[in-house]
Amino acid sequence: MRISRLPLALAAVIAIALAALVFTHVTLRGDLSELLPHGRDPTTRLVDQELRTGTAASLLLIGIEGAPAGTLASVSTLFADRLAHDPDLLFVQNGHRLISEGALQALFADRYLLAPMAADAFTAAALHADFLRLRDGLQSSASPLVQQYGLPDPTGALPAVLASWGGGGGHAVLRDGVWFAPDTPGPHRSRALLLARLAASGTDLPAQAASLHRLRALFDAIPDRHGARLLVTGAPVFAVAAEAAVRRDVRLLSIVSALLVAGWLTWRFRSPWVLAAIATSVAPGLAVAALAVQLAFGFVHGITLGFGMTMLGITVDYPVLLIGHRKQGEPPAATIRRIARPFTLSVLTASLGLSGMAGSGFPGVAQLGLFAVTGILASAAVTRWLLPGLIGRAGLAPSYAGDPGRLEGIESLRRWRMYAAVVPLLALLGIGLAGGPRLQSDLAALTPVPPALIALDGELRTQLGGPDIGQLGLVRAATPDGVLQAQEAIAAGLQALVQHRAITGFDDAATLLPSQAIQHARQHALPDDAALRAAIDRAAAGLGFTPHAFDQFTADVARARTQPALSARDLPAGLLRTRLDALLFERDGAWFGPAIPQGVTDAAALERLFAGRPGWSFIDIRRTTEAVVRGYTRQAWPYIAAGAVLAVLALSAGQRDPGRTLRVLAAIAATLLVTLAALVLSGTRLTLIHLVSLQFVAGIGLDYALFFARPQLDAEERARTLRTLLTCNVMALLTFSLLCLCRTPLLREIGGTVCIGVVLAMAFGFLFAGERPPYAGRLRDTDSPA
Amino acid sequence: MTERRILLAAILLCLGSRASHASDAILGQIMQGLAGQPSRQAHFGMEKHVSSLAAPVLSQGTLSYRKPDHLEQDTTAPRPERLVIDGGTVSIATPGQPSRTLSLDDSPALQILADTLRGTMAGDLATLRRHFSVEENGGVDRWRIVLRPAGNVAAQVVRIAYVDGGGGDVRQIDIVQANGDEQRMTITP
Repeated sequence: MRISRLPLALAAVIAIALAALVFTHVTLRGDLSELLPHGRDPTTRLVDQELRTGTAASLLLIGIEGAPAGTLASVSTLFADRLAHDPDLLFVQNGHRLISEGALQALFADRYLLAPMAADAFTAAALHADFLRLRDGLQSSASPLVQQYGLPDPTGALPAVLASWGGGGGHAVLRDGVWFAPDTPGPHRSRALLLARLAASGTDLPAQAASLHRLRALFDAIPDRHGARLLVTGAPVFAVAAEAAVRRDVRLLSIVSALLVAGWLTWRFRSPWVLAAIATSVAPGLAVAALAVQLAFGFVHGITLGFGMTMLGITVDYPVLLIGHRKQGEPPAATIRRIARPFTLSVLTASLGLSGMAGSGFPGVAQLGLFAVTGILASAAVTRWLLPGLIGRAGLAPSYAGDPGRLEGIESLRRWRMYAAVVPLLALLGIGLAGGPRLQSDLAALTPVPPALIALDGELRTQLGGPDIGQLGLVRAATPDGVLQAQEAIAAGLQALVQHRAITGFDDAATLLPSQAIQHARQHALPDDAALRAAIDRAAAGLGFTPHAFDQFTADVARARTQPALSARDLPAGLLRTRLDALLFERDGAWFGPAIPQGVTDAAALERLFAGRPGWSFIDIRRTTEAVVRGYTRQAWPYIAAGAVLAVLALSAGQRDPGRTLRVLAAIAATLLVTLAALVLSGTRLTLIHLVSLQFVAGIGLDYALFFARPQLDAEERARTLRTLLTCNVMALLTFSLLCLCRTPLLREIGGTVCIGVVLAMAFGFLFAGERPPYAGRLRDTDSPA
Repeated sequence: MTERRILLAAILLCLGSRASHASDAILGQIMQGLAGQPSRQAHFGMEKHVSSLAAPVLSQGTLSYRKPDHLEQDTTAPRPERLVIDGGTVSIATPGQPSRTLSLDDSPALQILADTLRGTMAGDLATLRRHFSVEENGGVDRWRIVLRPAGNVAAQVVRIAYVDGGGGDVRQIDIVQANGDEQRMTITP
């Protein structure tokens, strides 16, 4: 047959074009939360939804530092002003004019309904003390303010309202009219602080990324910054950083691994056309896999893709196994005949093994499973039915098939395999001594967000008093007032916890807006006109006030007695309403209100407080997510195990020779045991991801073992197999060691696990799956290096 | 008839403008004199009439100013109190209590009062004119500057203010607030 490479070249171009077409059309996402399962009970779902879409998912903590305090203050003012005009932000606050003049007037007008007042506040004795204080104030430099806010409000209702609303800003101090972090020593160590909330919800990562980009550009456009730097943290920053890290990793992986594999194969086969053959087989696999995931899930996750790319580690093997086993000039059908059985078996068992993942119900795992199974089947089909003809026409075969002479020495190593069997037993012992594998269900440990950013976030959160929501009580009621009443009912319990130092404080809607009942009670407690005037007259006697000094006070009290009770709508818009909206909200017709404790030191006491109170549930967010992950992990196990059982059944049926099946299984079992031992003994806490990686290792190990285990081979074929499998092994090692360099811990963990695994798979496959050399003498007779 | 009236008007206008030129020149001189002192320290006595108190409030202490924007009013009697206006903030401290600091930006009223005091001490006509129409009576040796609010915001705070002095010294500041409260500060270097 005349050699023609045109069909192969055409096939490669079509395959790559097809893959390119698919990859430009799938929806790629990098948000790690997409990989996690959603909660099942309503409370977990609500918390889940709030975490993804609520205030916490769009709040930004901002610091400005690196310049003298004066510069920072003016930069903060300019920046806040520009952000206030940016439609990307719902609000921005830098400590300046926390409460607008209008909002202050509104709070002042409603002070007697909003403020808690002592029972004796309006008695002559209490008023007398207040009046003395007012007189001092009027004699001081602050007299204009005392005239305006003090005289109409001798009992201090407005300060009480403001105290319950809090200044916001946590430990921030006001300097030059804006928030600053408490000073740290050293020059230029001042830090101005801001708080902002993005309009884009936590579910719209691209929009959040664009908003963050614009926010940084707005900062950079501020003139005369004198080296002031912008620090931004918060959930949106984390999500965007994680996504960017995943994307960067995937891009790096796909480019570098492709280059490495291409280089290695070109050197190994001395022909660039082998690459065309591999592209012809691998590209359709990736395309079909991506398409299948897109159709099933509506998007392809970056992690799936990153891992999928390294699936090259398995599917690239197929064309390499085919070409590597072809003798020079041999009809492709003959090569297929020799390797068809282990090849088909390996594809089948690997797909069956991975199919358990696809059905696991854990979104991330299911995606990976589906991607792997469809990719493997598609590549294998192309390799089995399309590629043989093409490589035959192109005349592709190894230029050097391996040296059967050196084979004897290598294969004689198998004499020691009974000793090598000690290694997996030791591994088992090691795992047992270490107390078995420890599971990790806190997926936060796998975040690709740099630790420095997480540390900065913690710092800014403390300085700004932003809630780091870990545990909370959540009450559900039919009406907003029902929520407020339930919160008022539990307030005393929370106060007691504060006194016992189980928590340092708490934040809830009822502190900001009292229930209707409380408001009515406060109105009822206000004295009538005559009583108040009488009390004032007695209290003011001899203090030197003019007769009409307290006219506005009496008028305001009279008005408060009859004004309608306030609801959330009556409160002034702006920062105050934003805070209340986060603490009192409606979802699906029911009203919810969290009570968010701060500085929790005794979570158990907190849990006891909420337990058993009607309408309340206690939520430990970390525990909830962990429980959800654990639940899904538990659910995934049987599926994955079922996949493995199916694979073993298929293997036994396909092999027919129980002894050989046993050898293959021994090789895989040894590989998995030692890999697991390596992970356990290095202190790695196992996640579902490690399990998935071990499945891949099993798949690759199966490949190797099956090819080593083929019966009755001559030395030349055995040498060819050894050499081809070594080629595959180096390829897998190259791609998976790249994963170890990733910034995404998820991918790094996969890389480390698989790297250890493939080396062991090669070693144990060679030692256990192959036959012991009984024909050492014969080998020398047929010795004929290719 | 008409021509004579126009002529009269023109003469009056000229006179008026000459008078205002003269006043402006003197005002400029006064301001220069004030601006010539980089810092000052003086004793002050204050008499305040507050509408809600039957009797006037009397106090005294020391007043010090340092260019460009640091003003301290240290009251010693009847009750010790220290008021510092510095840059964009004002803080009030009384013994035994934490000092309270406010941003001038937060309150137009405070801003205007601070600008009135510091603008006078600094001889900073531009700052004064931001809130007031400034008029001068008298000569360079013995002068009186009258401040009338030039806008709505200023009018809500101050009804009228008089600053009396001689040469580069301020002798007395009278402020009548919009709510009718009056304060007179007498300064003796």
